[in-house]
Amino acid sequence: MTFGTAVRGAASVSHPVKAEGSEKANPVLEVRNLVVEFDTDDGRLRALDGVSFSIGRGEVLGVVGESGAGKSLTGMSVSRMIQPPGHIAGGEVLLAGKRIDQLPPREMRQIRGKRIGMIFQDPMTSLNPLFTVGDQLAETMRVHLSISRRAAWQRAIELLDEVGVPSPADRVNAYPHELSGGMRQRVVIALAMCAEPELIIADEPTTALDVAVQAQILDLLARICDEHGTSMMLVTHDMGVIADIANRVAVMYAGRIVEIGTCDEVTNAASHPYSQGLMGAIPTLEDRNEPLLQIPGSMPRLSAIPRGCSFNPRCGQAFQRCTIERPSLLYADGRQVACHLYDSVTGDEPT
Amino acid sequence: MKQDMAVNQPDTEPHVVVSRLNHHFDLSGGLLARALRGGERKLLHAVADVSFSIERGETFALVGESGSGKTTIARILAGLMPARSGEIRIDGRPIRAAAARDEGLAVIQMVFQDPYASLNPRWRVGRIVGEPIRALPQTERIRRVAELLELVGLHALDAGKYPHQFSGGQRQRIAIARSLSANAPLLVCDEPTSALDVSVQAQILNLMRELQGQFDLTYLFISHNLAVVRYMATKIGVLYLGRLVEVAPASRIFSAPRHPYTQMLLEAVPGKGRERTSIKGEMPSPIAPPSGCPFHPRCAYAIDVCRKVTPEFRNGNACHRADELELPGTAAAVG
Repeated sequence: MTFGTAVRGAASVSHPVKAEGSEKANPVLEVRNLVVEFDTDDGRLRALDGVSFSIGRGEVLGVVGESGAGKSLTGMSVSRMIQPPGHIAGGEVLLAGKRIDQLPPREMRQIRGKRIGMIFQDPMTSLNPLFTVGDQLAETMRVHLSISRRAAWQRAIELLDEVGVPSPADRVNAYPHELSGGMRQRVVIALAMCAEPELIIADEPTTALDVAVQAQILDLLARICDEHGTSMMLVTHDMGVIADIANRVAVMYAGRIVEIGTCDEVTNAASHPYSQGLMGAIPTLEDRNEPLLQIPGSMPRLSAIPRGCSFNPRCGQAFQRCTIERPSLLYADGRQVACHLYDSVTGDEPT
Repeated sequence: MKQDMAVNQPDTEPHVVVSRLNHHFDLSGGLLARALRGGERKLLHAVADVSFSIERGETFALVGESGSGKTTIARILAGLMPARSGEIRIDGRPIRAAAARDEGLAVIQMVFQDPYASLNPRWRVGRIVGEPIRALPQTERIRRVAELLELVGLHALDAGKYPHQFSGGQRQRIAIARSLSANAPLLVCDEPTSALDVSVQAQILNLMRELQGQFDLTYLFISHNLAVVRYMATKIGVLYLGRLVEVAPASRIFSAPRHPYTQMLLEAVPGKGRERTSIKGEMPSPIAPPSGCPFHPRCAYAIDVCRKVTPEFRNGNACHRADELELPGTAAAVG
C-alpha cells in the first residue's frame, strides 16, 4: 500500500492498512458504558444505553445504524456537544487514556478543535459565511497552536493544497459561498485537521455530496488517517461508505451497540440478526432477482423500548430469553455481539 | 379522441417515446436591467436533445449527478411543466392529449422523493388516495381506497388518519397507493426511497417490484444511487449536463459501460477495496458548459476532437471513442 503515488486532488487511492488488535493495546478513544438521557415531558428517556467501544491509532471505526439508533448522539457525546435536555448520565469517555467526560466546559473547548476535529454533513455547519476560508483556518490555528499570523496563513494555504483544493493561494481568499459543495467539505476537513488532532469525528461527511465527489472525499479521508495516524469515528447510514474506508464497524440499534467487528466480518458475515437484516436490505451492484431482505416493523421509539433485547419483536430468531433478559455485548468468534444466540450459557450456539 | 387512440396505437410502438426533448431555464436579468447594464442572456440548458423509449412493464432508470437534468425530465414527462421543444408520446399519442384532464384519464402518476411534502397534511389519507378517482361515486371510491391501502401493506382503516400519523416509509406507501388509484400504467418515480432508511427502502423497493409484476406497470425511475438502480431497472439512461451520454440494458451498463462518464459513476460507488483511478473534478456549471463533449475536462480518454466537436448520440452512446475504448465494468470489482 503506497501512498506516495496519491496525486492530490485527483482520486488515486489505496486504503488504510487494517490495524486490527492495536486498538486494544493503546486506544486513542475509549468509551465505556456511556449512558445519555433526555429529560422530557414524557419522563426520562434513555437515548444511549451502555455504549462501549474503542478506536486505535490510525484506525477508522464506522458507526452505522438507521435514523434514531443513536449514532450521531454517540459522536456528539464524545465531543460533549449534546445540548440540554440531553446529558451524559453515566459511563466514561477517555481520550488517550485520560477521562474527558467530566472536564469543565472551558477545558473541553480546548480539546475540541485541537485534539478532536469534527466534520459534519453540511459544510456550512462548520463554516462562517462572513469570513474567508483563510481567515477561518488561520484563526482556528491561532486559537489552538502558538503560531504567528503570517505562519498560520502560510499553513492555511498548505492545508488547502493537502486536502486537494486547486490553486490554494487564490482560494484561501474565497468566501464559502464561492466554493462548490465538495470544495467546502474539503475546507471543513482542512479545518478539522489544522491542529493535527488525534481523533476526527465525521458525522455523515459525504451524505450531501454527489457520488463522484463523495468518492474523492472518502479517498481524502482515508489518506489523511493513514498519513497522519489520525483516528476517525465515521458515523453514517451508508454501508458502502463504511465498506470503503472503515477498519472496524459498530452497528447500533435503539441506543445500543449490537455488534462490533472488522469491516469484512460485519459486511460479509454479520452475526447479529439485526446486522444480518440490515446488510441483506441493501441493494448491491450485483445482478439479483430475489427480493431484498426485509426487516418487519420499524425501530422502537425511545419511550417504548421493548423489554429484554430491544430487537426481539422484529427478530425472526427470538426465543423466550430474548423477551426477558437484555443481552450484553460479548466476545463471540473474535467479534463482539449482543445476542443470546451467541451466548454459550444457553448452549444454543457454542462460541 | 377515442378514434385517435385506436388509430395511433400500433402494437409495435413502445409505451413511452420521448424524442428530442429540450428545456432551458432563463436565468438572465430582466430586459431593462440587461439594457442598462449590458448583461448577456444566461440560459441554463437543463435538458438537451434527450430521446429514449420505454417498453410497457419495463423500468427505465435515469442516473446522473445533481444538475444533470433527471428531475426536469421527470417533471416534463409527468406534465408538471412544459418542455421548450420535443415530443413525448404515450401509447402512440402525444402527451398533451394523453394527459388531458377532461378525459378523466390519468395515464401518468408520480411518486416524489419527500413523503413529508408530497401529501397534504390537512387531508385524511382516504381523500389523498382517492383524489385521482374523485369522479367515481363515493361508495365505489371508498371501496377502491380500502383495496389500495391493503395492497400497499397498510390497513383499510388507515383511510381515516392524517399523514402525520405515519412514518416516512408508510407515507411513501400512501403516495404509491395514490399513484395506483386511477390505474395509471406509467409511474414516474423521482428518488422514491432516498429519504428513507435502508430497511424501509428495502420494503418500498420490494413493494414497487411486486406491484409492477402484478399490474404490468411501466416505471421511469430516477435515482442517484446506482445500487438501487441496479435492483430496479431493466434499462438505464445516463445523463450528464442535460444530455444522455449512454442508454443500455441495465446488465450491460454495469458489466461493460461504453461511455467514460458511466465508468466514472460506477467507480465512484463506495464499496470495499475498489481502486479508483478515473474520478476527476466536479460537474461544470450548466450555464457555461465546456465546448465539444461536455465531459471532456473530466475524461481520462479525451483527445483533440473531444474538445472541439460535440459527439452525436449514436448506437446507445455519445462518445467519440466508444468503439475503440474498452472500459471496465463492475463485474470483477465488486467483492
